[in-house]
Amino acid sequence: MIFLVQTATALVLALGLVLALRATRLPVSIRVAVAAVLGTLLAQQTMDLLELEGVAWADPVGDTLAGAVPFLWGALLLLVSDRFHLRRLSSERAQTHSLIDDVPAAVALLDGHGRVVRASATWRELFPATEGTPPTATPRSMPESLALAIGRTLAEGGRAKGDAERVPGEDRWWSWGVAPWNEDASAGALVMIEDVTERVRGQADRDSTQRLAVIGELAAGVAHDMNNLLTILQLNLAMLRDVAAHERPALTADALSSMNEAVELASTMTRGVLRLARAESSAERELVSLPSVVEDTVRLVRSTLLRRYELVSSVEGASTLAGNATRLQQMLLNLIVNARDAMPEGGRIDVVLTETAGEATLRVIDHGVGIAPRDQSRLFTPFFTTKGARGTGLGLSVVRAVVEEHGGRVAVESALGRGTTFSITLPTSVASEPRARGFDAPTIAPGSSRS
Amino acid sequence: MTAYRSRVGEHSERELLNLALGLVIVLVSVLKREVFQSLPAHRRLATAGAFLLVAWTATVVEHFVLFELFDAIEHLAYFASAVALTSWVVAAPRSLAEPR
Repeated sequence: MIFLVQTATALVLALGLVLALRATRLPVSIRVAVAAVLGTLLAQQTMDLLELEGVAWADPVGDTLAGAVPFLWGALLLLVSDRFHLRRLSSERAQTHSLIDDVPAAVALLDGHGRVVRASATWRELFPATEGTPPTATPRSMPESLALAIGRTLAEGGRAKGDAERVPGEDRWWSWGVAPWNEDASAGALVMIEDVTERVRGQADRDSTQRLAVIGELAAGVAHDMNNLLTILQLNLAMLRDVAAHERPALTADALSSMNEAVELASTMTRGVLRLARAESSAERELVSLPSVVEDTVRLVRSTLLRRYELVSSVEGASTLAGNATRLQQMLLNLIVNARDAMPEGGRIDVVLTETAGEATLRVIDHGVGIAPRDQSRLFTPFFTTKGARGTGLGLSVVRAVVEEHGGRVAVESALGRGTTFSITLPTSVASEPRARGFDAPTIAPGSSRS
Repeated sequence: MTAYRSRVGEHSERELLNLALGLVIVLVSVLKREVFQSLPAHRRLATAGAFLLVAWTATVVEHFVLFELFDAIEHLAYFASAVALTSWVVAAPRSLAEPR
């Protein structure tokens, strides 16, 4: 029985040996190692069979061969593990390269010295013939923050990203990201650049459209009030004509004073509309007085509201921030117009500016219809509106854009049938004398006002 | 070792060494099981190794008890190991190729 088993074992081992030598898909080293194990086992079995037949020298030879099997077996396992590990690494590297080659964005893998070792087709279009060269050393310009981020990531690790940054000397904008290739920063970095020029231009177009919509609405109100003011002027002029005819100087002075006030108010209104209509760049920054922005905006809007609305402003502190007064005014206008639209039957709108350490909070409060909870999460999405055909769906998206431009945040609290409060929190600067600019009044005056 | 050698003869050290090395390989395989589990057709390879270990164990044990039984187990284990290793030779190339 043992003889049969050993014979069968020898035959199977011989078959395995032949298959191993013919397994051309296996690496040669593995084929040799497997053949060594199978061959040694086969020789051992053969020696055992010869020993059974009484061949004296077969026993020590068989024992020697048996002693080699564990070593060969261990070597085989190590070899298979090593080769398969290499194969997997190679496969992963090929996949990564394939991914980098085919990704539609501009992606490049940099080595520890910042040289491009692999780049996508889009990257090669941006930086032609730069493989083997650091992207920062090419003639192609890039945002300074990106160049700094690449250097920092290669030196210290860490990730960085930038959104819609202008390429120096070009009318293009990039969003970018830099990340270390693995935990070891010196191993290199992965850089991704996305050209977001179209998005930036689209946002600018949407802002412009929305601003024009607001201007149109304001212009209608201004025209209405301007007509009233002109009527006052006409009446006073007519009266002056009559009075002058009867030589009554006191009445003449009153009439002239009244006319002067009407002209001043008309002038204020038209200046406000014109300033808003001016397409100032959102990148234009200066020290802006938030109280002045609030007061000027409230004054401008108040003249366009019907009598059933009560617009109340309350301003505390003298917050200033580096920003764009026109954009901030546009933001506040949108919120007040929204508050007005939420109260078709009229009511009170509160505009409250408060100041805490390093932050100013601007709240616009209405007591209107409120916003359904399911709509609140979409409020700031462009073109989303709850006003039907009357709304453009752009107002609150512009609000969010302006708030983000100024490094602030916006929150909304609303209850159906009870009203809505929009809270804008903006980081403030330390107030300084020189260039604080409001809308009309250059003086920053703490206090509150009420209409 | 001396007692064992006096009982089973001069080949005792080689048999014990085989068994010890086999146990070391099993230990390493268990500690590095994640690596071994990622190998192609790893179950067949593990089966071949396990039967080799059985064969080496039976080779030692047969000198103490039930010689005929453990001798038979030894040879059957070698046979099973040969079958498992040969089947691995057939199965492995399907999933393991030369690194590119």
